[in-house]
Amino acid sequence: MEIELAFQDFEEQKTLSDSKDFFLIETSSKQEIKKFIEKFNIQEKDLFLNQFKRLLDDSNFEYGFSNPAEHYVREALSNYGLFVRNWISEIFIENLSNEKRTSSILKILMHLDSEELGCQGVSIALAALSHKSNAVREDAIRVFENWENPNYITALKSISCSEEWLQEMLEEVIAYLESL
Amino acid sequence: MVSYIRKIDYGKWKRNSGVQNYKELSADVITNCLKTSQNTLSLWQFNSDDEKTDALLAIVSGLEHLDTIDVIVIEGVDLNGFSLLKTKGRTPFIDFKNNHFDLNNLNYRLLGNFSEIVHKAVESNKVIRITRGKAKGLIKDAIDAEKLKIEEVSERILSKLSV
Repeated sequence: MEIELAFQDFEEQKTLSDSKDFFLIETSSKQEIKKFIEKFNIQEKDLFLNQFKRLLDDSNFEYGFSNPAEHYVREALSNYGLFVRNWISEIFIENLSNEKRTSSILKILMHLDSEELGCQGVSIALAALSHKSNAVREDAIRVFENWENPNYITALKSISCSEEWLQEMLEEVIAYLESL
Repeated sequence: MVSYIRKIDYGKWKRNSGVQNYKELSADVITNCLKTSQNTLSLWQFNSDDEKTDALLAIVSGLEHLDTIDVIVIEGVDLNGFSLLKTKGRTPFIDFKNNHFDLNNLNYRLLGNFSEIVHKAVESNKVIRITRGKAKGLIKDAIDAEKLKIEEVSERILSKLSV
């Protein structure tokens, strides 16, 4: 099996972020690849999780504007793609009872393209639609509004909000997506 | 009649809907949504319906992302007792920069009074919602009418407008 990986010296346990070189390795060992991915996942993951959580707590999130947390995630996604999407999912699940962090994650997602976020991003937004906090549900609705993908109309139509203002917002977003 | 608009986080204020006395408003809604800078808060003034549209354009054209936003409408008379200072607004809508005002010299008492004004405006529906779709339309129309220079609008917003 041939696989393209980016690392300088696997044996010396350097992190992926140190590497500027890509090269081919041949291996018939799924075990070796799995070991590499696990090692990368632990080293870079901790760095990402700590920084991301700090930014979630400290950044100022205001509708219409960017923030440091968003920039950090954007950069991390361009460097580490799938890994970052998985890590964000983990943080979201871990912090479901933390309204601020959950809302902040959604405020980041609404400023990124759904393609960058993959199925993990979509799953986060779908799960958030049913959150007990109306602040979180509002942000989930906004995520779908910004993603502008009519494929999610069905999901939006499957929920209803007891708060009149939020239900109006939901209906406006559905109408908007239907108009696209 | 002189009026003003200010961007607010509508959801935060609606979550305080049951509050009768503004002194019972949650701390978060005041500290997060009415965040002062050098004891000032930003407002945009308008004097007619046409100018109201311009005021909305001044706000949305200065955004970095086309999120749905909400603004409250405040009548000039409600700001008696406040100090208002004309300052250059930050907006790509250059012709409207001079319609920007700061509520200045704010203190604990005045911030409380302004919170009451905002709370009442939200409760009496003096709120204008500018959805993502409406914001796109406002900006596009303004570019077409040459009220707004394309190079002054953020690239991220332009990429969503197909201009």
